[in-house]
Amino acid sequence: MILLSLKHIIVKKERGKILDRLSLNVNKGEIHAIIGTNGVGKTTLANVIMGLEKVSNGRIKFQNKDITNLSVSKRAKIGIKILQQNPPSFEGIKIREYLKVGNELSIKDIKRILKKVGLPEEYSERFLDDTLSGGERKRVEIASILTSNPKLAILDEPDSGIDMLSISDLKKIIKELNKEGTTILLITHRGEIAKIADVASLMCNGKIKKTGNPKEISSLFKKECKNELRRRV
Amino acid sequence: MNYEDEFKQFVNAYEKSGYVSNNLFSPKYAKLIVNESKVLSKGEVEGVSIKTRFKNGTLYAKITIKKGVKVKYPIHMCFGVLKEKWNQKIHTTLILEEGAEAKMISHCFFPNSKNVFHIMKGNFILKNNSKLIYEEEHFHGKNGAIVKPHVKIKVGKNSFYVSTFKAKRGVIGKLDINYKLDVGEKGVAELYTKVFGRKKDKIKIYEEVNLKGNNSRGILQSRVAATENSQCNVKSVMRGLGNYSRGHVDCTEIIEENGVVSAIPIVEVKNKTAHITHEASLGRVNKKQVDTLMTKGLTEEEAVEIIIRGLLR
Repeated sequence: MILLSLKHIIVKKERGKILDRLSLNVNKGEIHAIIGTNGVGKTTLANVIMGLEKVSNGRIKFQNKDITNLSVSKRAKIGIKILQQNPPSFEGIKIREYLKVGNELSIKDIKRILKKVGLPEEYSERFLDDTLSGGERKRVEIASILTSNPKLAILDEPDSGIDMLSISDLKKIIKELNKEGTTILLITHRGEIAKIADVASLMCNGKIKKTGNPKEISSLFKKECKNELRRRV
Repeated sequence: MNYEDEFKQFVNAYEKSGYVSNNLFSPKYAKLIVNESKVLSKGEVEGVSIKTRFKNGTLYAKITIKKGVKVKYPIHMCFGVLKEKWNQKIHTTLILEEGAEAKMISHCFFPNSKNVFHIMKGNFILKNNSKLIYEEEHFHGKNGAIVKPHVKIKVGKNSFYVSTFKAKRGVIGKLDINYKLDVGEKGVAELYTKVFGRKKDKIKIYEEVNLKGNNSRGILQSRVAATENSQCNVKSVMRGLGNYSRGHVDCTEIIEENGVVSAIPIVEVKNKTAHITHEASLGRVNKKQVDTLMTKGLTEEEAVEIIIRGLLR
């Protein structure tokens, strides 16, 4: 059953088309990896689904309803959540307050979730400001996704800024979230984390080049990377 | 109106202005409570002396914390005006003798103001090895007032002064802050100013820290939101004069609707071993922050409100 469907999406910017007639189907309950090198439009795709960037053309359907013109907050309310690649810091907002935005949570719940994402319980009282590292901010964002039980979680480079040891924990968290009923769109430029996916799509030049099983797509991606390297050299 | 009724009315207005009145009644707390130009209550504790006199339309208050005294509970100062119109002039001298330590909470509230003037001239002297944490909070009701806190502060050798000025609730009216500090050897001065401008508020903030002593330290941090048709001008001056003095100026001003902000940081170093840094950010609320909160289901307005509230915390 298709949960999310994008048809012929075009996003134009001054430097040209970032997404070029991109089409993609994501089935309910799957972990779907989008793999591609830097600059192929992966983050734009994530933002387009969340409503953070407008499409120049094309349609987006979620649960069979057209959401192309729906605002970001309305998309969030119907169960779409995003983990941004570089989440911002917030001066004067405590982590526990941030996690409660849009959620009813007890302090016990917050501490449990923080522990789950590898942050000490005491962090609930810390400010989500520049005193946190990029990796810590990312963990808070992962915690925020976990608190909201979304229908679709778009994870844009969830492993960037997170050390190797913690990547296995991250994979576990993603799998658990998926088991609890959240469909995952996992956007990455590294093959490693994509191994947990049920399905993968290779993205090139603003388009989905191929969709298949993650192993097949990963080896195609490696070839693509080599070609890209040759082009750059 | 008799004294008792006036005091009751004052406390009632104080609570309605968002403050908790319990400490005003406790003998553990030194206090000075003033309505208009009249002292309603004055309480001293061991080691804290509060003297007042009224002369030529000005209330003079002299607060002294005796040598070596570490005041356990915060000293409360309340300057209120319940009338719609009044000209309140206060002259405060605050002396922390050598080795004294205290926290002071000052509330200025004019809940019914239509044309209230509050002119506060202060002279704070922190003698050597003393410490003062000073928190001042203003509430000027729905219409605003004309408020001028002008304070000169001397921070002695090895002394520590931290002040927070907040005017976040209600309409401000016209605010003209002028703080000048001289910091002695190994002294520390930190000033935090948080102001929320609404309607046609006109806000002028001038803060000057002269790091005169060797190894002295200073921070000037201002956080200002100018919304609707308010205007705000912040001038922060930090001078590195003493050997190895270190200072930092940090100003963030955000605008919404037709707000106007300006910031003039002046960092001056007259000693080659001194080091002063500054950062300033002016403009609308950061779009990425707004977007991120909207991805949690908030509307743009709700997101902006949370960001501003955090900034002025």
